[in-house]
Amino acid sequence: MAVTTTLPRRVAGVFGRRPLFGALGALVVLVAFAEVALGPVRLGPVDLFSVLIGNGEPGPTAILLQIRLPRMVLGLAVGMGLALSGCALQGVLRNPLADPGLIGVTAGAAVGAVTVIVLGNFFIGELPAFVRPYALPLGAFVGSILVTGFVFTFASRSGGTNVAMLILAGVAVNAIAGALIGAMVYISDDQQLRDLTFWSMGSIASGNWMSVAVTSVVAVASGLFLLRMGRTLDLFQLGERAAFHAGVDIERQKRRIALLTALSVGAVTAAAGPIGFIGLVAPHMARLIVGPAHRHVLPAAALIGGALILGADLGVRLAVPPSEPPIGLATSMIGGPFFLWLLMRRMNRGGGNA
Amino acid sequence: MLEAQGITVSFGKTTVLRDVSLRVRPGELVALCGPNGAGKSTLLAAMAGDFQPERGQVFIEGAIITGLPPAELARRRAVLEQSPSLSAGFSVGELLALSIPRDVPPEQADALIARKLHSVGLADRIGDNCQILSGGQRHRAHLARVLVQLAASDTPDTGYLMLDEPTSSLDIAHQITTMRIARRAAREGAGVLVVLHDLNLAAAFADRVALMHDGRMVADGPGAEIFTADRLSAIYETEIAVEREDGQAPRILPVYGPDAHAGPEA
Repeated sequence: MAVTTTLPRRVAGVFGRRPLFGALGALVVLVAFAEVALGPVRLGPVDLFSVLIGNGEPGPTAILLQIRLPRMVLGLAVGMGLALSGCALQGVLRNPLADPGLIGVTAGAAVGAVTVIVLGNFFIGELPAFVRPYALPLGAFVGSILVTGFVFTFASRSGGTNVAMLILAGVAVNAIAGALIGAMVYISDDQQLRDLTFWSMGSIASGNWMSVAVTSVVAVASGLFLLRMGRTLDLFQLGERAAFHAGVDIERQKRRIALLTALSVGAVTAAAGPIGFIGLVAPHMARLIVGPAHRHVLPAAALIGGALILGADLGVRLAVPPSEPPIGLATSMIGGPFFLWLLMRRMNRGGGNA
Repeated sequence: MLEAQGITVSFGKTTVLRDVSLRVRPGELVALCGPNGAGKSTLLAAMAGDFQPERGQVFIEGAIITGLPPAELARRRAVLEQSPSLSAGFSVGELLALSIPRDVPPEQADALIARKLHSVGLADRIGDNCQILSGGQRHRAHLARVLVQLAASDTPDTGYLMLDEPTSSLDIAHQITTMRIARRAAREGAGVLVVLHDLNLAAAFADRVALMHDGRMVADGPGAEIFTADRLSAIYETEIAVEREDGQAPRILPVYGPDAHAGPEA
């Protein structure tokens, strides 16, 4: 048996890896299709096809192009961005509990975005004209990069990170962010309050093509860079010092990962609000399916993340039609218990450190 | 040549190395010995390029070591840490594959990994998860990983192998195997620097022993010359005897004193 292609002992041990990626890809295509087809108005394959070749009825055309397609694209970008960010953070911090939401990166992005929503009137006019449409994602990015920088300096002092410290730092950051957002809510007017409240529950429904385009471009671009960091992330599993001995420029790669994850999370949060736990759950599922090597975990997590977001969106849309509860509620309701289960499993193993 | 020239290192107010110099030439096995806290691991780290000393420099083939990019450095020296760790569920084969550069063809990589695993006695564990190995086996797996890194570089015969207490978690037989592996690496052209607590292993396997005490280099030469009962007893602050027989490495024996069992009737 070839050594470098030694398959992990779980699912991949039975089936090989290529069919696994094929299955994941098929799953994503399936939920993506369901996402555009299902809803109060059902669109069959014929409707979809005729719209796509520019030959559709006005009704289905509007529904597909203005509502469901942007929503589907945004969902994929959000799922991919969060999953890859979570995967990269877990890898570089050597800590399987690192999730952009848990450690406060999402909250940082939320503070930035909320600040733009509420106080934007005061300073957007000062910005150069070409920047103004991107003020929301920029605000979110500033917030996420500040928190990411904080977490990296705080958590990775001695090569590995201490789970308790990381989670506690996340608690503190989330609390501070909650207070800042509360302050913004307090001074916001009625319209802003409504925007804020729905946005803060996390949803991919608001997807207009403009925000979809910004988010997708940023998430896909940083995602492509993250996808190429498999070997680096693998080497980080030896600890920072040994990774350096093996040829990794530690500080530079950490800065790069911090920047890419902050970009992804910022863009995703600006468009869809804070969506929790996808960054935690998707990489874990990916590892169970394709084994621990990051060159496999990263793409698998990206696919799973997209499928999870679209699945959650479908779930909440179909559960109580025609109302559309925000999917942030669904991901947290599923992700929260999953996180507790992970935590318990680690504690039972007696491991405090990653 | 790998050379530390008069380096001084402090952590906070504590000076850990004072004006220490050491040379490791290609083809040579140098053991670094001394009591706990003498500065051995710090010297090894400085010579691995981990940090810039306060004073003095470390040179690798004439170049200042901290001036080289990490990837270039990794082609010239490989380091086994005192307590190697791994936080992912890699198999033994996958662990060793971490040391394979991207441009090495798979068949060549597989052969190299198999060879090094065989040399540390773990050939049959290639598919096992590292987490199920014993502490000593895991240490040997990491040794094999470091050997792969050294062998996979473009210039294996001018590389340096640096091992920080590679024998401390091993049984007697594997301590000897490990030292033979270090010996062989030196014979094949690498400069080898090994931090060792076991003075007998140092005396038996090293071309030279560098003896440190309290942040200073106190002796540097063949074990047979520098291991004297007086010197060792003074440095380690316990009575140590040295037995010599012609044609053999000196045997270093601690004198246990009155509390030890003296024999069957004790």
